[in-house]
Amino acid sequence: MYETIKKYTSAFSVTGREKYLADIIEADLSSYANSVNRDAMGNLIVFKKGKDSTKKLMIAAHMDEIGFIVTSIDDNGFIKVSNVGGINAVYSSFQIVRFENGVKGIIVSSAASGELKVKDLVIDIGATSKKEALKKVSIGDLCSIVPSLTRLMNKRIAAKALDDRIGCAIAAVSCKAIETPAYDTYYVFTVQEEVGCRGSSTAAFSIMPDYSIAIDVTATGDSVGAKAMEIKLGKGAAIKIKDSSVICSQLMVDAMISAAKKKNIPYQLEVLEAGGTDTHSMQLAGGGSHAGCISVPTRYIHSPVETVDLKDIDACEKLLTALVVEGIE
Amino acid sequence: MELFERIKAVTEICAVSGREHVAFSQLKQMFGDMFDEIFTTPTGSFVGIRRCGKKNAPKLLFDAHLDEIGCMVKKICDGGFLKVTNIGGVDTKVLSATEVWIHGKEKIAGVFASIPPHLRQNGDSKKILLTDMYIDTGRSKEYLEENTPIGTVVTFKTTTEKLLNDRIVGKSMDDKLSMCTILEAFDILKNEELNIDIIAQFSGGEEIGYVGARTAAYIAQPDFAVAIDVTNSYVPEAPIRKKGNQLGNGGVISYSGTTSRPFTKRFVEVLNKEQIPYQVVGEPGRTGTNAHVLQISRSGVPTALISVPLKNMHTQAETATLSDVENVAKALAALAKSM
Repeated sequence: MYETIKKYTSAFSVTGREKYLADIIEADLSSYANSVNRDAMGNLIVFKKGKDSTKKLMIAAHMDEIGFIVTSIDDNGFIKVSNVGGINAVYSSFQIVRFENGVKGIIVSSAASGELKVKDLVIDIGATSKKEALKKVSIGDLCSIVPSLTRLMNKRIAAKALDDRIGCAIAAVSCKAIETPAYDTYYVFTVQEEVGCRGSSTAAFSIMPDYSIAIDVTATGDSVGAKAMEIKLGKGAAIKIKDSSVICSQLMVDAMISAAKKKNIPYQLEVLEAGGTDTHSMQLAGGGSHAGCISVPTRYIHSPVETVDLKDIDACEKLLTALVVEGIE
Repeated sequence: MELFERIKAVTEICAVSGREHVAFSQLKQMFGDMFDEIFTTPTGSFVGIRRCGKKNAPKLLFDAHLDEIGCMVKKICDGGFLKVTNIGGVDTKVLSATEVWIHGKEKIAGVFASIPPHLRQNGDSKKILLTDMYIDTGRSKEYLEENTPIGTVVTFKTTTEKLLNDRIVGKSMDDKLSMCTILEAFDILKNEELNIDIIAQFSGGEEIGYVGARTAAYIAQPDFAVAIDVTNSYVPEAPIRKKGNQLGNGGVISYSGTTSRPFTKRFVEVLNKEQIPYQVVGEPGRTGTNAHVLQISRSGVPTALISVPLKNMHTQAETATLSDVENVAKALAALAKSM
């Protein structure tokens, strides 16, 4: 699992440019699948035939991460940017970024004090003029924080883009571990989640699942300055009941709790008051599906040091595998 | 069933957004025999269809939402207190010292804790946030952890009552009152021969983003749709432009940016012909009702919107008038007969 996480977090995969990560995941899973497809949006759909082909299960983990898009370049070669997804300017300032073509730069802020906003951020790639900068970077180019992964105490790791490479890793490891799923199962590695669940929305429409499970990160209540919330790092897989985009289907919540109890997998119940997930778009596809979400408790979400506990990840993977193998109802 | 009895029975059903399925068996038991077919959806919608028996008959869908606003347990605290998050647009101004039902394995009562005026300090008069509020249950933490786990829903603890002058008051008139207009319309049409199939769609999740109407309409595939919802009636505090919509003057027909003008025109013509009272309102946007998602279901459905005027929306004392419910029911029945 750790190696998979390391590999996936190091890929360039800003919202809208997920093909590099899709290539990596496809290479990992193609020999474990009945078929592998990419749709027009760029979603990677890994299909495994199940024992019962009258039912369809869709699993979604998003490949994209938040980043920046170049809007203009000034005469001194400073690159002005806009956010792609929910960027926190404080979390991002004075970090090193990498563009799709490998060019690196640093994010500097023009505001020395006061409340920092994304519009105060510019990228310095070392260029001395606009002309020079334009040789390396074009309007519309995307970039994100350079990969990093640090092991902390207590089986904890800190890295950028664990939102949602951790979900991709859990889905991939589970996909490899399973011989035959209960239902026809579509592991979908989705695009453009961070800008409104766009990839999962179209993928779910083409699959029309009966059941759907998203794998994504959730906040914790035991972090610095956290809001009241029961989720704690290291206390197990989080079974989502609600976030601001969705109220999960009772059927899925019940199925997850019962699978966790049966297999002795540590779990916690999650009510998240901010943030949305692919669960929402899968629940709404066509006539609707029974939708749930397994969340990985994560501190400092959307920072370069998103922090998770490998014990939780293990629990999430076991829970997903149990649901895929044994079915929902 | 007599109208007020029906309204009382329906409004007192617990159906918080996202957890409407708990009401399905009650609905089936109470109203199941009014329909030829029934289906329910994963997103909390209960749909009943009455077939006219004619081949390839067009389908007219009436939508009212089954779900109601409420709260959901997010943390269990020491001392028998619960912290909750809102489901839909809960007004914290009216929550303080409000009695609630907590729908755990065992349904228990609770009350939102409030600071009495004697104990308030300077600065306490500012708007209270839900994050600062607790529900007091008087139970042990162990009991709450077992009986009302994270995710348990909470509703207002109130009953539906009659006031003077045909007024009624209670919780979740938004939008169960509109469900009653559809049920009444089906009653009116009971022995009528129709040229269309009529569909009663009691949809889930309206208060959290129209999720139930969107998905159920995808399955039902209507040719025409009417959304029935509630609308704010004029109160002295409201801006003067709202004066047009008052309790007791009939259903409010919306001319909006996202409903069908020709279909609305046709609806209004029927009401004029049948001399059924109605009011009108102009709305620039998406109306904040299911009308918008019905209109853009699949390749598009001509949709009209009629609303029951209501006072004190999203509180435990939503107030309406029986005659408005009757007039909306008549309007729906007249429309169905005209097609």
